[in-house]
Amino acid sequence: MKTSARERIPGLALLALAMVFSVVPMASMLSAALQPQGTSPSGISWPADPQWHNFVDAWRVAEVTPLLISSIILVAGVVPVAALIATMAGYALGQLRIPGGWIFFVLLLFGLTLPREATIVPLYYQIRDLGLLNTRLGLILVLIGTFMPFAVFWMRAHFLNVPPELAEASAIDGATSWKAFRHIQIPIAMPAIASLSLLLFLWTWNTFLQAIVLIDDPSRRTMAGALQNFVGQYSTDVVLLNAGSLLIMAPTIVVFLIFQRQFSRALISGAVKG
Amino acid sequence: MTRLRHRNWQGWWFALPALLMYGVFVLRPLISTVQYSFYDWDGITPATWVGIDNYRRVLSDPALASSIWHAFFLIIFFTLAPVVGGLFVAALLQEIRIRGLATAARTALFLPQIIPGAAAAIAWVWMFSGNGAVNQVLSSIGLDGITRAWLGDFTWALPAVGVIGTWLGLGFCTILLISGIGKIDTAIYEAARLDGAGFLSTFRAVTLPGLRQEIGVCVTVTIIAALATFDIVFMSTQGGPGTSTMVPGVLVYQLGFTESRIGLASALAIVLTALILVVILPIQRFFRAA
Amino acid sequence: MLASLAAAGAAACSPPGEGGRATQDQVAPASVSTDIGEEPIELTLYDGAGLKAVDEALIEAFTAKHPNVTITTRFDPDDVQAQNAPRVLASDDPPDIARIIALGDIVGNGQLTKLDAWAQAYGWEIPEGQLAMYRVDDNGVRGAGAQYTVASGFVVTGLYYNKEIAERVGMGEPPTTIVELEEDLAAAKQAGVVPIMAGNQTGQLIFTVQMLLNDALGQQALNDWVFNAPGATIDTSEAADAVGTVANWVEAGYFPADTNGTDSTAALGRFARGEALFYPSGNWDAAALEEQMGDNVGFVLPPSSDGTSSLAMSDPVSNFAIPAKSDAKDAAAAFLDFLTSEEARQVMVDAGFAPSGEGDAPTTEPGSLNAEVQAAFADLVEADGQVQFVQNATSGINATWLAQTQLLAGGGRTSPADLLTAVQAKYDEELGR
Repeated sequence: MKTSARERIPGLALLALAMVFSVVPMASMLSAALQPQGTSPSGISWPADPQWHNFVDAWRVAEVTPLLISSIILVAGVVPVAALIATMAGYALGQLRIPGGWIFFVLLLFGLTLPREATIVPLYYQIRDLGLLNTRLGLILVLIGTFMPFAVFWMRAHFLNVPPELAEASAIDGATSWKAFRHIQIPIAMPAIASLSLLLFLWTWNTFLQAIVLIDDPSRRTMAGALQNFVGQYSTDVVLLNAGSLLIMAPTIVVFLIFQRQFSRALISGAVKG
Repeated sequence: MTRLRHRNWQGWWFALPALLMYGVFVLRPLISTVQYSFYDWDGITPATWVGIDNYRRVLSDPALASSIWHAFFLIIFFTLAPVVGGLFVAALLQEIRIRGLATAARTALFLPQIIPGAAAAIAWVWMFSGNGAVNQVLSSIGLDGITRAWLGDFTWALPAVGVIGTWLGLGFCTILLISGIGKIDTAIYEAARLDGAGFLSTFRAVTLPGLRQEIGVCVTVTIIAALATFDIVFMSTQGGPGTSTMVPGVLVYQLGFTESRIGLASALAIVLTALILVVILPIQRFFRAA
Repeated sequence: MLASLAAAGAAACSPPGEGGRATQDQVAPASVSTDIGEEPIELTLYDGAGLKAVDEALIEAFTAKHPNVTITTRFDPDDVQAQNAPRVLASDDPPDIARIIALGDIVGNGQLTKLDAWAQAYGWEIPEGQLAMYRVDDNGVRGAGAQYTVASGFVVTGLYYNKEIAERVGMGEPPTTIVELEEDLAAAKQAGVVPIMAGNQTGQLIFTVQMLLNDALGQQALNDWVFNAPGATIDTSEAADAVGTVANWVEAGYFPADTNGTDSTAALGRFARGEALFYPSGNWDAAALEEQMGDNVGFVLPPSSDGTSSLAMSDPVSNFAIPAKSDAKDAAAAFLDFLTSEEARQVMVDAGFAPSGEGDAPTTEPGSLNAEVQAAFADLVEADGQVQFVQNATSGINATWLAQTQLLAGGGRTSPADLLTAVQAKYDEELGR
């Protein structure tokens, strides 16, 4: 009705190419994971006799269950708090344009540029001095702080695009800042908050460096930590290594697929238009 | 007027929780890193003050210069490719409007972003290996002559590492840009179509300007990812072969954690941070200027 | 939160690293006992995750003899364990038994307990070559001085060879001299098989490099270098000749062309599939190779110039020490004592490692690859030929060896002399020389 077929075909081809590029490495892992244990697979090929029980073995040796629970606890501690306070700060910077806010913004921008390794050693000693070493709380606090630059940056970008008339109108209505924020701004910001939460969830889940340094007990760490453990223990078996890697990736993929529907709905819903 | 200004100061209450968490768990350790950079310290025994010695060493070390050049080279793969690719894919999804396809494409493209760096590295080391899928594909289209173990080749290892960065960044940029396109009024697209504008001219006249802010975020984040890259290189090549894929992030880690030379590692981290800042600030200014 | 921020800010003003040092009595206890009594004792053991299975087997055997002791374990990924160890030892609740890799550094920090009193009380008799790996003197030089560790067992390295290919290229017996080895390599090349499999993406060329270094420099010189003896250097013309031999082999195409892009896992797989005549590696690959190759694989110690001396890289599996801040040292020492017992030696051998201490060779399945590896190790101990891995000379030297051997394998990207100069420069820099 709108686009001509001639224009569509190269577009679809490009899109298909991008999609294949994104999934091929996973397919390659799956193909290796289904070969008989102890063999040395090659390239991508569907095995004649797929060894699905490799996944059962890998689940057992990688001790996935406790790590799954641990990661869920960490996510529950990090994401809601980080998303809320980042939205508040994004509102203050992008919409209220607080005086001197640029200083905070520049500080955040600066934080955005920081490699994680730049702060990890002092963090260890600081968390130890707070008595939070080897606790999930310590890791949660560190992650919230670490995620602030991007989270606020992202929410600020959203609030910059919200017409200021909205805030002015509510000010004339006599609504306090908090009320205006709670009842007018948050609903409008939901799509941005949703995509931010998704990113925060993934980053928490995949945290490796901080988890290793701040928590000694592997069963209190994240799924990514398990993968590392697994690599160390089973590096001589390509098949089990790939099966274990896929297993450890699986929960995020499943959660993402579930989340994805809400996520898309939020994007499609007209809220963004304001 | 005065009331509004008063209210603006109150707005700081909204910013305070984020500022506090950020201050305690990022800025304060960062200040410590600056402090450590003036000491010779093994992380355990008392430190000795060495002034700017660590910085002098960092700046005179030839290994550092080449690692910085590598990081800048990676921008092509980490930033340019995902932003350009993400723009086209996002615009195509907007254009094609086949619901199932859009969802499938989003899911597929975002997949790399949701797996841990370690898993990405395992997958790609396997892909790039001598008997991996990359060579399999090349052979199948008659390019046997160029097959090799990509991550072990002095010329191709760095671009190969870059491809992993593209793979990770494409989904991230696409999602951000799709969300941005969602904010552009669909009426503008309809108007453009009624004018008979094709995909490319609509893209140039409507999509691109409307996404200025999101592109700014994408470029900023991915350039930082390129310059401060750590996970991918650490997990795939450890900087090798030779030092052909060595980047500053891995050097910081090696000095700080493997060799326990906290002072030197801190100085390198500070130099890296300063460098990133120098690159990012003009870019940020450019995208902010409306 | 504000208070903690203020406190943290105040702390930032003093130089880092004050406090937390162990006392003299913690480092060298005045009284020790070999009797650990009947009261319940809880120990914590800290090791690399790759050793979980074998550590648990050792613990099971130990606690069967001492039912009042329970040992909980704590594992970090293998490479992370080495990095975390100094901090874990400095914490308020350190483990009682811990694997130590950078032994010299950690002793220098005063974080470990001297074991000499227990050695005397138990009457430990440890072969000299092994004891050297446990000792550190007051200047942080290893190889002499007080004893700080006992190994759970040893890794042993040598040459795996493919018997079928050996027959095909006319290699009657495995080579005992370097000259014979070179003949076999040339024959393999002639026959179109890869002479030496090496996954140098993960640094496996070093096995060949050190094999020749061992032969050229001898055990004493290399161990001195690894133990950081004063003035030790590897930047010599003898060493350059040895590395030059490897460079010639690279040039002759004796290694796979894509060695820098092949990791150790892939290398093992390719050797198992019959792609190469030799595969220099260690005991840790024996089980996988036997499973994939059956009777078609053999193992020998590396050859030497004169064909008689046996030298091979052989490091502790876990070099266990007792942290200075441990509060159950007698029980921990009992565990270390147990490591050289017959039961523990059998546990290690069953897991495919070489046993700690000396005594009758533990039993292995006759004719198995493991039996061959164990026999080779027994010969090695007999000849006092254990040489330390050069990659462990300092905490950071492994990265330099990796990068430099990759340049070497890249063909003409570095010269043997430049390689050794670069390694020695890093070594001196790290040791502050």
